[in-house]
Amino acid sequence: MKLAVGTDKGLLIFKQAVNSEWVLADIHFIGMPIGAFHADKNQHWWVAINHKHWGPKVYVSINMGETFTEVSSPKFSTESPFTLKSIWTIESQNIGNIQRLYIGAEPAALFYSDDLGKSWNEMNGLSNHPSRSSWQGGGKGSNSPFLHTVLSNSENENHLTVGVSCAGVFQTYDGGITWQPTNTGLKAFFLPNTESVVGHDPHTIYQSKLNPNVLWQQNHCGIYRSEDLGKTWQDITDHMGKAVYGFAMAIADDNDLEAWVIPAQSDHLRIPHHQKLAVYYTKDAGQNWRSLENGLPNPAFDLVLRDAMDIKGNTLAFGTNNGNLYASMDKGQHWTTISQNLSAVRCAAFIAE
Amino acid sequence: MPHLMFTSALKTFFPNLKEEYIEADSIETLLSELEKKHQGIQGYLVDEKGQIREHVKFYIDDEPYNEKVHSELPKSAQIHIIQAISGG
Repeated sequence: MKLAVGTDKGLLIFKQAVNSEWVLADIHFIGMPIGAFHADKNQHWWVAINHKHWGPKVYVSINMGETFTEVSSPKFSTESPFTLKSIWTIESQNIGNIQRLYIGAEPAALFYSDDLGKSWNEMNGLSNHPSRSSWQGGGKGSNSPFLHTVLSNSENENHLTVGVSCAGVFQTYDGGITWQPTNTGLKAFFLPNTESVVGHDPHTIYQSKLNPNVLWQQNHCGIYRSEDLGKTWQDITDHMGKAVYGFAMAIADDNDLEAWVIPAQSDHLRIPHHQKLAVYYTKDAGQNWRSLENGLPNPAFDLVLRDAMDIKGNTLAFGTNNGNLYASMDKGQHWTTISQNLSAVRCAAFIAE
Repeated sequence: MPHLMFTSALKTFFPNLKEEYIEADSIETLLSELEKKHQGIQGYLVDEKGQIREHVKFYIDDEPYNEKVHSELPKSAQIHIIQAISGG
């Protein structure tokens, strides 16, 4: 197993040595800001670079990083008021014999490609959603809403779930023509109407592989779980007040009860509680959360961004905005440091050898 | 014929890029001629609406490019395409 780590200064590939230690094996796109990384079912790597000067670019590698080829980037139409600012996520879905690629963008839009990135189409039903004028910017320094999460449904290829900050969760059941906000149960404490239909800030959303009806969400205003594919959300925020605000999340591969989050103290104090870096873990669907700190530093001033944690079996890894990278082989009971000298980590993903 | 020079940073993506003379009487023509020689380069310099990217700067004879002033390029124009410091 390898670990792909997208940082502000390149894509780093770590692999596990015989002694289980993670070692740096490759660096791609050195010095460039990685916006998103996705390994599809064919183990083709899709990488977005959010150049500050040259605009967002997309690359694919069909040989696990030996070579990369630039494909086209999504473009807003000439009628659209928007121009592409950055790429937040890349996903893929098999529809019959074709592989559909998705890109979640800022300004918030969902693009798809059925020709492996040669051309992209915008899902206009989402971009032009009647609620669009109420969407707000989210994230540090961002004044435009952005789409950061795309979930497809293996049992219904016309069903998609997306997360937009700050607008909320939206779903389509007709392949992207019409979209409905599905934010029932979420709270938006930063709005006058905290139970607004639209305007929420879902930092990240995950779907249980074992039970696809179960979705988990780390939200700006707490942690939520759904058992009806996101139609309604239950607040599972830590009643002890620790696992509340954060970005990154991981859920178990083999059950729908276990999840891990890495909270910050609050939205205005984006550092660990009492400067003690800790992962919070639930094994009972969020009824209780407990901290897993063994091997993590104190004091620490790190924030873990939305895509910067991953899980495979019992192995977890996460990287921080301060360029620290940690891994655990036992579901978070013990942590080891992989590196403390990286650039800000945007995404981390376990990939095949 | 305008003389076009580039920041070396663009050579990361277009290794064959070098200064050259390009027949063009406007920036639009210049960009489309450049695209013919270096496929994809236009997308690095302008966005999908054709606007020069926020952190890319064109200089015409050492003056920042101004759409109104430089609507027609002088035949002897020295054109520099650089990455703006504002881009970090």
